[in-house]
Amino acid sequence: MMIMNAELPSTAAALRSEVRAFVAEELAARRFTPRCDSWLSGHDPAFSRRLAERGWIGMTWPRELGGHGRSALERFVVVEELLAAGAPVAAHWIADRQTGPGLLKYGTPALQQRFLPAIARAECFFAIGMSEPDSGSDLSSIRTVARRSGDGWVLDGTKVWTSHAHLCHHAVVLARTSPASQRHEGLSQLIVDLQAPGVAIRPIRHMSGEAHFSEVHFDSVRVPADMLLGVEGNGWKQVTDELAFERSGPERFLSTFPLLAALVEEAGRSDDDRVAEVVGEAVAELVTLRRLSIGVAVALQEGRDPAVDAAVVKDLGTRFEGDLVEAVARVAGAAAASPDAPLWTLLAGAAMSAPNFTLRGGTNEILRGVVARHMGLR
Amino acid sequence: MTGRDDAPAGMLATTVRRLLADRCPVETVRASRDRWSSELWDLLERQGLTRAGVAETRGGAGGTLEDAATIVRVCGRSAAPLPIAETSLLAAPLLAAASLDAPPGPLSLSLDASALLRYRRADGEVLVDGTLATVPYGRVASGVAALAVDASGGAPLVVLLDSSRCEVTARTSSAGEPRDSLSCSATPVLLAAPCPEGIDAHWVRRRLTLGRALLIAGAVERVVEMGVAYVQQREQFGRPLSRFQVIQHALVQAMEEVAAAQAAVDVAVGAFVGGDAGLEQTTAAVAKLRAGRAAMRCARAVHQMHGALGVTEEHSLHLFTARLASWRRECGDEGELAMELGRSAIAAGAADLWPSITRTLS
Repeated sequence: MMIMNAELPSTAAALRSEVRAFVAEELAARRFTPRCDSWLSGHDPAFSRRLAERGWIGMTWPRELGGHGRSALERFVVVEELLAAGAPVAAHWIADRQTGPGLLKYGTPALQQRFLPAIARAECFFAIGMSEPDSGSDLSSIRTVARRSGDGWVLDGTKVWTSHAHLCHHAVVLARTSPASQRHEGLSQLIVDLQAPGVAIRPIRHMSGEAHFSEVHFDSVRVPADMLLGVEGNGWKQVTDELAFERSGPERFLSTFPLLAALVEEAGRSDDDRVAEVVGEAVAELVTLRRLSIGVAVALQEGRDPAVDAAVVKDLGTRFEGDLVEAVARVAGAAAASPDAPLWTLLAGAAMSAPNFTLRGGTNEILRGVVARHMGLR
Repeated sequence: MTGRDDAPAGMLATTVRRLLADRCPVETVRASRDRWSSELWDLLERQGLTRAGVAETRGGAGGTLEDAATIVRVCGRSAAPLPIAETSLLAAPLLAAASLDAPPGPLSLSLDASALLRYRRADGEVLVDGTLATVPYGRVASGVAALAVDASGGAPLVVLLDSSRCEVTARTSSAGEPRDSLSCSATPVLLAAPCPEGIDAHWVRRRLTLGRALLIAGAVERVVEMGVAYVQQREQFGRPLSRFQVIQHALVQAMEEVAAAQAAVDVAVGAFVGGDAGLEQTTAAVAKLRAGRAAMRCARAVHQMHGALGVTEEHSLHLFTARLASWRRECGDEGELAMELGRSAIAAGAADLWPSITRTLS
């Protein structure tokens, strides 16, 4: 068994320095506070626009469509720097990570022109419309339907766990468009304007008190014909492709990195072996996971399907994110002298988010099934 | 993981894997407890696989350090009973760096990086005193390398010993691998030269750590393959074990550990190719830590799947899992490695934490 070759391009070093300089500037001006899960809970449109100005959104898209014609590995460098810094990238995250690639692969020229430049300017944010109250891991059991009406569709149904729906302009909704179809057949992706009549968004409060998740209810929402993404009935294949992008990034192991940095910050003052051991184990895991993640980015760059390797990184990475919270909790008292240390706030927040790490972006148990099939066990 | 077998490292790995599948079956590993596999060594040597990464002008086979690392890892996969890591990653390059022409055949050295002999010069010879413990295959090595210092504690020498001129105490590890003790008393060396710049006990220690990590990364792959094969043919409750989801998930997680071990050693090999001593130290520690953890998890999972059969002497699983356990304990205690990595990160400060991680692969 060989893992993929992993090499960063020669442009990586300079690009990395640029992003670090930008982050340092932002921190010095107190424009953000590092936090865990920043790609999910750090919603800051102004920050996203500043990234857009530097050409760091839509990096890999063609220039004619508002992108910057850069490589997947260059994008990886920018993304890992921002995540390690705990920077608030949530507003543009989904649009940049998966909606854009979906539009590039399946969108009509009109849809591409309409949305890609706006996404790259951080002026248009997208939400994911896949999960439903009765359809989580079993995604193909969805019940949201879009019935043909005149030239377009009428959409009815409910989507759930939609991040920041109340702050997004559009959602890409997976709906059943063939009336009698079952499971993977007859599904389509529709781009829905979240301001349209019939759309009702209700925030879902997380146990941490935050409310970035939503329930989105569609009640006879009209969707124009030209808002079909890709081919009618091809929704399952399209969603599978989109999930490969969703699951392939370094957010799958970097969500709790700010917590580790905070521990190291405090640990300099104490001289506790237990703290050193926790830090050492975490560094070893991070170096390893990063290498695996770069391998996935290489596959993406070369147009190969990274689904299996991305599943491996996601399973290992998200378990590490949770293990790190546990490990830090055990030694934080030995490290942090002051009750005001940022370490405590980060730890409390991370402990609340921790149950989600292994659930979101494909429940780990489901992803193990994907890998098992690849290994010939199923 | 989907692989790139068309890459040069992939082709070499495939070639060596096929060779060992044919010429190093489990019977050879089993028999090695009582006999030295000289034909296997000679075969690998003739194929230029034992001195990869050392220039041909220095008695090497040419090629790169990356080649040597690949060969060591694939040898680990077959539990090849040979001092391949000791020869190709340590003794051969050590002697080459000191501009010494190493004799052919298996070379070795102590797995204790801090081991030092004492030397003095007499009648144009270099004589050494001291004991080298845990020398893999010391009893059959054509030369055992070591560092030696004189009574004044001045600049050390690189020396090569003829084990037949030492008092050899044959010892084996818990996995049945030779880990001999060599005692010297005014013993003339075969070769001696001043230690070149950059070569010291730290250099030895980094490479010993890397060597063990590579062997472990190879063997865990084999252990998981054995697990997959077993559950596909063993039936209980009217079906193969592989049909049970709990078995599937356990094997997937074991395979993930293999991927992690291979990723960690891959980063280390890259760092060693780059030649920065600090990066070599960090990444070797990371590789051994991560590969060691993978070994523990894979061995546990695959033994669990094999039931009682897997713990018998007759079954071949122990040939690999006992070696994994033994290799984990050699060349760097995992707890110590973690603490060193951690202390180093803490001393460098939080602002350097992420940069230190990106430096390992940049």
